[in-house]
Amino acid sequence: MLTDKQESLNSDEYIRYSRQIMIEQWGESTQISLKKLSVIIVGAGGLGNIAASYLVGAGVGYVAIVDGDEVELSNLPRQIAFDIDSIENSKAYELAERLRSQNDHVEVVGFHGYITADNIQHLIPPCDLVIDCTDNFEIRQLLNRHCVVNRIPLLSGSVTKWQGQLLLVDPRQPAAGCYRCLFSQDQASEGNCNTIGVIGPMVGVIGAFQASQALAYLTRQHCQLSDQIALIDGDTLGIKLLQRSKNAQCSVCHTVAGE
Amino acid sequence: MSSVLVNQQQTIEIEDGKTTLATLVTTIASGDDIAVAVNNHIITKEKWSEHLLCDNDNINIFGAIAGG
Ligand SMILES: [Zn+2]
Repeated sequence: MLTDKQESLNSDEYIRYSRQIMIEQWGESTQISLKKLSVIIVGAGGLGNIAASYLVGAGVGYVAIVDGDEVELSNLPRQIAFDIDSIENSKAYELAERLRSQNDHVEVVGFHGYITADNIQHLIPPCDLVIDCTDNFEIRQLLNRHCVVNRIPLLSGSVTKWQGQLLLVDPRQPAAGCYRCLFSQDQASEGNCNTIGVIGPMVGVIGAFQASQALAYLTRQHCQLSDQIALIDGDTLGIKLLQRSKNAQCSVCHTVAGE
Repeated sequence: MSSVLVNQQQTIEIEDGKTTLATLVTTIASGDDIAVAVNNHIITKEKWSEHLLCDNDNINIFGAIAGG
């Protein structure tokens, strides 16, 4: 939570955010409260491009982007913040620069580097929400453990081919369990966009759902994903919501419960 | 004969109130990191061997995906 942000909107902000302020349940007070919130987005690929752009656009006060990748030609079909001149540049820096030009009312910071067990404490400090937009199981499990132990809400999104998955590990809903309660391995045969491919627009679909559910959670302290997982099929337009529960043998939840 | 519907596609015969979820999973899924829901509720892995399936149960089996 950022405390030094103004308690009001200036005229530029009022016009900029007018289309969401006019929604009855949103209003000026919600818009002001968003300015005080901080979100860390891990992964500046397809999901991160979209989720970050909508959250910065919406006026979340502080947004950090963490990624150690550089932009490659094969990223351009779906990572729409980048263009041909971005190739070989840091994704985190490129995206952060683009976001700053999108909305200069938001403090945007880019960190070029991969999350590891050694640096996670430094790169993921206490904040209002972490959004997992990464592309591998090792970092997903690392983020999950860190967020559960430090009681930071974690909104996880993933995508391959035509399919996407979304869930929120919510410290307010420990009975719903964590990411590891569902998936216990650090590696799995089902791969990522680099190994089994992805339909470009699907990262847009899942990234946009991450942004909308993040805004729902940040403004209401609850969202549909707090105790459910969403399975989304972009081919059949199917969305399946499944109720989650804690795995009694989960090593992560067990660590926290045993403290 | 009783049966369950898996992923909206596959009908599998079971013994009502006797076949466990663990048995069903071993029959139709590989040993990958998978999650299973019965009637829209995830059954966590440690409960698979004690969860008894019923006629017309609706089963979802899915694997973790990691792309971003
Ligand atoms: Zn857990």
